[in-house]
Amino acid sequence: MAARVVTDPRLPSLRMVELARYGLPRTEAIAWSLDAPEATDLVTDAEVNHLLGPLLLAVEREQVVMPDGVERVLRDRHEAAMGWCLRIERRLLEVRDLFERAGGVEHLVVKGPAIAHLDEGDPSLRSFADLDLLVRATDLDRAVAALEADGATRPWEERRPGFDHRFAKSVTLAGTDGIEIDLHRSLCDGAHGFRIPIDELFDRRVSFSLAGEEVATLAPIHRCLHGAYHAVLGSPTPKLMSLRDLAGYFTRDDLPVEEVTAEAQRWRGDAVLAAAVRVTLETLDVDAPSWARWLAQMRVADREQVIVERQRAEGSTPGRGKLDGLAELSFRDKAAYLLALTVPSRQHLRSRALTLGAIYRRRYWTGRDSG
Amino acid sequence: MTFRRAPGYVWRWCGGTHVLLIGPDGSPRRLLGAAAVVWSLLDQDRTWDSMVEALGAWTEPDLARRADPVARAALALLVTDELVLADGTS
Repeated sequence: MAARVVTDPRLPSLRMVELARYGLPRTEAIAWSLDAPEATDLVTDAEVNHLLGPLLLAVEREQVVMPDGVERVLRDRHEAAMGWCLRIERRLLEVRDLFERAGGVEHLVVKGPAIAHLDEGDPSLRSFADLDLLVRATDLDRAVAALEADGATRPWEERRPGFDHRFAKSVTLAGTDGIEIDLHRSLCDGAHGFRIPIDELFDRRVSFSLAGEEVATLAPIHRCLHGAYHAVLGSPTPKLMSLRDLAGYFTRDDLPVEEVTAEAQRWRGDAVLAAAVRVTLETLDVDAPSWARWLAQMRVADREQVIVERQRAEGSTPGRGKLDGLAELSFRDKAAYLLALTVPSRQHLRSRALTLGAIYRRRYWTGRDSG
Repeated sequence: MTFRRAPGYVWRWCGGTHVLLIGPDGSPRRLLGAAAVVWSLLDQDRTWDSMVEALGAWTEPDLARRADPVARAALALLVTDELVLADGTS
């Protein structure tokens, strides 16, 4: 594997890169002996990048040696991170009961807990901050109502009546315990969010065991694609933890490139997948030759590239990338979607301390200011 | 007789022989040493013999040497705390 020299301060440090791929198949061992200041910086960086688990594992294997005092700090911080993850998993079990009492809300756990339990060597290697559940559009309003009846609140009102279950990527609610729950109608915003065949995700679900219960989640191929969508479309710069998830999928023997790319084509998301493969291989430099070959021959249409780039630049902020979704909707839905994007309800604006004038002064429809 | 974890507990390995768990009452607790090892071994129904054998393979030399008595003590602790269920089949 070629050595990489990181000189751009915006790029992650070489040690964080090595930590992000630590323990994945076909990656080299590390051997760091650190003095106290170096170790302190490393622990802080690892915490910021949600990589305390891989760092602790490297310490346990004596591939990273640090002064006892700093090692104790690492262990304390890792335990605190795991404590938060466990609280989220306990909350997940409570939400399942809540949904059951509300007449049954079919749901799939996506991201954090599912990745920790199914895709990492040990769940303690993957931390997460909130709980993400995918529900069917027809169940979304009922799921929101069940959580609100339990005391959860949403930070802002629905964009316009009916927007959530027709067009939203997700609805975020915060429980009285401070845990944030994202109820997803789809896996991403914009055009790609409307292209994903959500019912098929439910049809092909798998499960993992949590506290003696079987909890449903996405099939491996869909977890891989969701990881790609999240890394590429969620923000301009993917988190190292998200790239570690992807590197894990791209180095697995039981996820053939042909099957994943065929599914991405069915979702008309191969431009997203290509961007995800590129950023993962370039950043983490993992050994995934079949994915590198696929990427080398992959040709992305200009129009699709633009859609990806717009969405990537915006994240969840309203803008031109969201308007790209119009092409995926029926005539009737186009009108409702456009109205909701351009003229949110008064209640929605008030809850976000915004006015229509303020929105248009930010000019996010022109792409000149993402606000 | 076989043994398994009591349901309703979520848990994580926290390095060394240290397991953090949260039970149905929501309060966190730590298992340390052999108790943590026994807990983490119960990923399936375990007979006593298979558990001792697995514990004997534990890489920490001190634990490996004392596998049987340590496992016995740890299991007794776990059962006392109702963290492990014995299903009574032999």
